[in-house]
Amino acid sequence: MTGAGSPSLPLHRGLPPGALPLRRGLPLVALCFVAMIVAVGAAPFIGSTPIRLAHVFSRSMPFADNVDAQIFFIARLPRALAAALVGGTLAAAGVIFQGLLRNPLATPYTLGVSAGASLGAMVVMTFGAAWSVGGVASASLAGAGLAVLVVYWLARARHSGLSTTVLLLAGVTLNAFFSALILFVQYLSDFAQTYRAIRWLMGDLDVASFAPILAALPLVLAAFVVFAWLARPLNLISLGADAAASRGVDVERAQRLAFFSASLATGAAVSVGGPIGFVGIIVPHLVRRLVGSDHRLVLPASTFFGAAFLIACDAVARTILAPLELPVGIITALIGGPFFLWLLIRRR
Amino acid sequence: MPLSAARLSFGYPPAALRPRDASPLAVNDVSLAIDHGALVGILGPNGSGKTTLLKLLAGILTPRAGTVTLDGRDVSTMPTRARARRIAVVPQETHLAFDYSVLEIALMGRYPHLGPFEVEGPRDLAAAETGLEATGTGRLASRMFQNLSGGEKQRVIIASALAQLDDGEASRVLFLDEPTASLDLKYQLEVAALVRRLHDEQHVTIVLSTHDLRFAASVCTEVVLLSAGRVLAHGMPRDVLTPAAIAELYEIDVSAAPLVIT
Repeated sequence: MTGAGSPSLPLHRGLPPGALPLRRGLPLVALCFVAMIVAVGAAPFIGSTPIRLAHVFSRSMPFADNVDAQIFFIARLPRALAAALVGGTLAAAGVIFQGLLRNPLATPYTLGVSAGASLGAMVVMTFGAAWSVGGVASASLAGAGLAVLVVYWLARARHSGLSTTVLLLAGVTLNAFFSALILFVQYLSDFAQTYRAIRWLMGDLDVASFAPILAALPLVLAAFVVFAWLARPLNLISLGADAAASRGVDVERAQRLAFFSASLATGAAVSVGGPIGFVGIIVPHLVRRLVGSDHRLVLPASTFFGAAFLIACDAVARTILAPLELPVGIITALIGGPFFLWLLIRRR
Repeated sequence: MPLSAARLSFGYPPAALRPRDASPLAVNDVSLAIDHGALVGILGPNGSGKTTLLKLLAGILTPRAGTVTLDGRDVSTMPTRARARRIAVVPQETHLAFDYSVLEIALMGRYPHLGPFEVEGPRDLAAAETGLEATGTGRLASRMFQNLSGGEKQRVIIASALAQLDDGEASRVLFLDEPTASLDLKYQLEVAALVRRLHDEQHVTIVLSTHDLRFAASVCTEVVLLSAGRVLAHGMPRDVLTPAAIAELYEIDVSAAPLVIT
């Protein structure tokens, strides 16, 4: 059985290399990339206070007197970039978790990462005096890390490999348990602390500087290198673990890498914007409708489209009740609920 | 012998809640030698260890004792990708977590031929097409897998396995787990014809498990009778599939069930 078909078969001309499904999807990935760039470029000009492009980049005025430039560079551009980072990361992590658990309804928060991150953030907001390194963001990252280790340890216990069923059960259980601990910490905190905690839980992108973005970036970039490697193994894992193994995938290694990379990326994203919901499930679903299921297309397209999507949601959040600026998590949740219903009705 | 198993034993771990119950061995001291180009049917009742034996021979499961060798190399220590270029497995049924086109499924067989970040090229496309043509599914290439019938799905997965084995290397083995079990009669006959054709036209050793005696007798060049994880008999179908052996294998009175033997 070499490349040539056997003589008894009808002669066929052979598909051109352009017929490779991967190549046919690339323009759509490029389209998502363009959407992201347009969103990053346009978002800083959308807001309750109009600003003029000529003033923003004007050299004649010192920065301290240039209100337009201050709004652009301190308030809006970091916010747009934070939305891009968080949206792209959550969407990509959603794709990885869905592939890992072989379940299109999984989210980046299914396995307990966000509950851990929230607990970490709550603890520091309430008893925070002793925690000085990096504040709430680093505490939420530490909480996420704790949750990841607990879930991993549970999924490994009594199994030679990594059981995705146990992974799912452990994640759901840990979510419930950490939620109870969050309520307990809330009970111990005063009025101002509770107010701040609830605001954090809503998910907000009001970062006010580039520092939180730069702090999260190394972890996110490292995770994306692993994501890129995972794309093809996840395609095969879609066929089933045994089928993937028989085609040469080291399934357990792929599962382990998927779990850790997506969890840490999620933790980093949550440390920037709080537990913003639904991005990690809405975006991959829309993107799969566009490009199909090949993870080598779904991952980059979801990353770019997720970035554009969250920037757009944030622009809505900032303007819909102007001059009030809503937390973006409210907008994504308002979109996410009906979206889930639509999915249910469509699938039946 | 290209593919051989020596004193192979395997048992699944006991149920988590009752760790004291010793689980019986699913495969118990099995030795087999399979010739290059053979079409072997592993026959036995439900629970006799057919699928487990198949997975052990294919290197998906690691035996508790004994070894499987392909051309003298231990299958369990072969690098997974090198192993996958020579051994392919078609499971009884395939349920996708996400829907892919038939061509994408066939191209997934090329996984062990590509480096970590390499994408499929014309050579892989040709191999996928060859596999699809060989299984008569070329015209389905752009259809979505989940919209296919059971028989079509089975053939597409076989096409993917053929694309996986499409290589210059010496002996290659295709394992088919219960290829007809979940199909109705029409597709059973279709798959039987396909298996026979693959055996005649592709230079691949085929090992399949089945509990369909008629299918095994009509398709296979040799059969292995498996009962409670042990080999009862191994040889040509007409020598092995005697009423006495079948009665022992299925623990039935053959004279009372004349439909079984043809």
